[in-house]
Amino acid sequence: MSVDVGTSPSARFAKDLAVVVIGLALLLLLAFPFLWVVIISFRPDSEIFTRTFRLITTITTDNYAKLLSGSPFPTYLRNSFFVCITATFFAVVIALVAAYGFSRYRRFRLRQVLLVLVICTQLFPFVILITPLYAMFFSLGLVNNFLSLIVSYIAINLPFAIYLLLGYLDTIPVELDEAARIDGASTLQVIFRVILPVAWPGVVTVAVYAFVAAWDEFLFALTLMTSDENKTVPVGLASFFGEYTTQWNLVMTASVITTLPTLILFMLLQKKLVSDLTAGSVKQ
Amino acid sequence: MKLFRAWHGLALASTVITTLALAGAASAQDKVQLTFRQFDPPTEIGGLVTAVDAWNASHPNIQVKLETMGGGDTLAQLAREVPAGAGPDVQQMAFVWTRDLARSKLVLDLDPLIAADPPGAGIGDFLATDLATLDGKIYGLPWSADTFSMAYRPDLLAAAGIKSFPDSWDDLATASKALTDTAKGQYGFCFPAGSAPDGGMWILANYYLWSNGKTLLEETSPGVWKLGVTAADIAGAMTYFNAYFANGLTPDSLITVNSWGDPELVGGLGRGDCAITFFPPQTFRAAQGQSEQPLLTAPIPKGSVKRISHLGGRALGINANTKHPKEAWEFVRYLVGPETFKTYNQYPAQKSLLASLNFPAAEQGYVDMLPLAQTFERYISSPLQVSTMTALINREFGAVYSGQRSPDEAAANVIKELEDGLKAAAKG
Amino acid sequence: MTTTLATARTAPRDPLARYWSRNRLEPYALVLPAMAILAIFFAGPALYNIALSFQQLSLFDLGREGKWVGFDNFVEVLTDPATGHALFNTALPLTIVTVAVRLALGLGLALLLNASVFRRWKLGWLVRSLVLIPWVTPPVVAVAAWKWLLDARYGVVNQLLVGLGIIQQGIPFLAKTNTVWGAVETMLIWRELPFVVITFLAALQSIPSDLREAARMDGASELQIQTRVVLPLLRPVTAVIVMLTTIWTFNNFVYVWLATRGGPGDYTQVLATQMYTASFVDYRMGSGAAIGVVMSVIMFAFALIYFLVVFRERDGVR
Repeated sequence: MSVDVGTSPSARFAKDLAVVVIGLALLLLLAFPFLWVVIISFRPDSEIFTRTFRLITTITTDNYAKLLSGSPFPTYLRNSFFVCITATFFAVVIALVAAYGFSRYRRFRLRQVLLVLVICTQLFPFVILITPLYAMFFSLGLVNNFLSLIVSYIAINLPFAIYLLLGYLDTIPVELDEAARIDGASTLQVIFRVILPVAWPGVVTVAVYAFVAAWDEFLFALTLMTSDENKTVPVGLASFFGEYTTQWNLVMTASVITTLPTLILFMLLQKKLVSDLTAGSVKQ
Repeated sequence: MKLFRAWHGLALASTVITTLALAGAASAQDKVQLTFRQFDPPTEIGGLVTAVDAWNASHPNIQVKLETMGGGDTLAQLAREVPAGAGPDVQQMAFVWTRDLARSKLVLDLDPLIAADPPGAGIGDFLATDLATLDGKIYGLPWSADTFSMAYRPDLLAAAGIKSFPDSWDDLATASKALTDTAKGQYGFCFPAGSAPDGGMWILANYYLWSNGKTLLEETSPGVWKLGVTAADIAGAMTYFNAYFANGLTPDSLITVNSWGDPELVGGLGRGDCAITFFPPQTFRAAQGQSEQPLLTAPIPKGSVKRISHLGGRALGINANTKHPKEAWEFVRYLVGPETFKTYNQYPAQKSLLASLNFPAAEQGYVDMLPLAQTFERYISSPLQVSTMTALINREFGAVYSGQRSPDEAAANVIKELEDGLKAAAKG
Repeated sequence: MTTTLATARTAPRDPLARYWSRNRLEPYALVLPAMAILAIFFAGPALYNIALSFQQLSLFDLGREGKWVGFDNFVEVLTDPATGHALFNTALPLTIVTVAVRLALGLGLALLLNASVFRRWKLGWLVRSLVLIPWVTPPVVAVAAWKWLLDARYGVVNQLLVGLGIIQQGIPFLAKTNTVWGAVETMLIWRELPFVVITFLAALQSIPSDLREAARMDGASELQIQTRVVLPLLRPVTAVIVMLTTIWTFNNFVYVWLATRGGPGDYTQVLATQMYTASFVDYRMGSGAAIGVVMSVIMFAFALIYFLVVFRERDGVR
């Protein structure tokens, strides 16, 4: 964490190594249940259950073949990506602008009221809200239209995005804005040219969260997208759970297929995040 | 102002998206397009897909789109869709849903359609029409039928020296003792004992009560409903099934297993974890697929009065909103026809088709049970919701298995809630 | 609040004051799009929910108006002993325990993973990706996987415990009343921990490094830097995390539903599962809505108190 001036390079290396080993070990432990899902996805039906601990049994890619050919799963994946990326983008932009308003203008009259109202949106359980929302979207002709899902996911993500971004923006000194204002920047320029680069880690975090929340969302997707070619991944996953049988290895395989692209997307994003960070903050 | 220009851009972008989306939604429609929604998993409906494809090939003017929605959510979705004016034209329904949907006029009265174009060998040939009837009118056409039978590993029974499959509930307990070998991890009788509102314990508990001449509710005179069980009867059933846990004849982990389709049960027979369990036909076939040893079926054990199971299955309903009731009915008639059942791997809910069906030898248990099976009609006509009773029974049996309550306490809860429900219904 | 940053911010209280006085409407313009979407999406349905709680209406009659029954649904819900049981379960084992554990584990992990060595060795992206794994696992799969891991016979956890000789025989964690909450909490914490870790990590990384440097120059030890400089700066983010996770968890339905359905018996019944059961098992939408309103009122009270205590104090409006 620090550059201990007084310690020798080898002692410092040992300390670094210990931190990395402990950190990675904890993370692997955390990731283990998912790794287990990956392992199961390569097992045949008959060997999902073993009485003694065996990491590797017969390895088969049948489950993957079954899922990727002749199943609508690739379509579900495409739908999910389209809806979630679009919704995430708009949610973050709208929330950033709003959070900036709340963060920098601390004394406008309705500030406290509006902030409480934003929280109030989180209070009502969705299972009950969904019925009037369905009626609303249907009367607008938006059932089985991705727009309804995108709007829903923007709305679902706004409240927490505003609050989290508010938390981050509050840690950014106002002097930064002031300097830009003196140079004649407009408010939106301040937000997107000055604040955004500094708040980037927070913005990415919020974007990741919004994406995951949309990616995992089940109830709206189920209700608003009934036709098979419009379905998203969580609804596709749920259809493997039947009354008579549940296709466990297919469920596991499907979840690996749905999780990996997301993970890879995040990894690429994270790499970008790191370089921005090192450029911005580690000027030791 | 820059702020304004940016919002303008955003507004423009969203308008473009809206226009594109709407353009995609509108499409030319000269022929009739029907939607048919069913709720079985995609892996189980290969035969149905074939049948629908065959229909579409031979009916260019009535094209049917098959939709799948997971079983647990279908009913609530219909309740949202139909009042809004939406929903599929043809809907697969569990037998027990039809009256609820009919009462609120969410599905169409089929009588005029049946009169104009009778299905199959006439409506009299269909099973379980009682469940689909409200005030003398039929709202759902029974499609597939099933019941439960016992499923077992004959080799394990033979190894334990059991000559014939246990005939009564007491025999089953005795046989289970002989079949349990904890060292091998083998248990005598496995069943879904979970507390979920839709769990399988409800089925087994009713079989036990019914076979001993009891029923949760009965209509003593028209419109007057009374409890058909005492607290002692319920406590007796609880004690009977709890003994399997208490004596170690079934694994404790089943206290969390809600569905008969759970891998603990479906794979349990094949792995030799369980010698005996109970399944509907589809699940039995899945279990056969996972077992290297042969599996057989046998009748449900009998009680002091009779041997009984329940007749379940699926019906087809037509949405009250449909713009094409005639075409929808034509498709429904096709679905219940013999052609569909050639590829659709379910028992047809029609006496004549069932009689001509060749049951595999391993499914003899179903052949034996189908004539003895009774629908849940008695409960469905009662003022209490079947789903509410199911939740109550599963929860209180689960409370006994997990040691939260004694059978007497749990049975008292069951009786009290049933009585409260009847009272509330009588009041309002 | 005695940190350098805070003093720097509070001293010339509003450098924007002049700009702001010329553009009184600007804050409204900034928050308007978000507020409009939220109003359209939430206001109507929330009012519908409140109206529903005063009616007697079956699931199948949603298109119609129900019978208005005044406060009957609330009386029924509030006098039902099951509600007290569910409220206790919702508050303590489901919410308080898991929020506290997530906060502690999340902060600890974030501080560890924020160590500069991960950056210097170019491992930051790997660390953050690994942290995300539980979170990108859909809840239905997360719970299914954990149910397997915890299975008495086929579960890895029991196989290891038996193998190590710690226990003689596998424990069916979800079937026993003394272990079931621990199992459900484990699943929930596992899946939701990344949110806390990532949020803290981002906050840690947006702390300007010269602040630490300055403290170091003043001779502060590493521990002092963490407790005196870093932790106070995490307060705003911690405030948000606690509020959001508390509300989300209190209203959460998936974990308990998928893991136990409220069982064994009614041991893990929470308000959200009770509401679901009332609406979609008993088909009594009015009762379900009433439970929903009760939950909302409880969380509203929490949010209001929390807001007044935490956020106003921070704004210095006392």
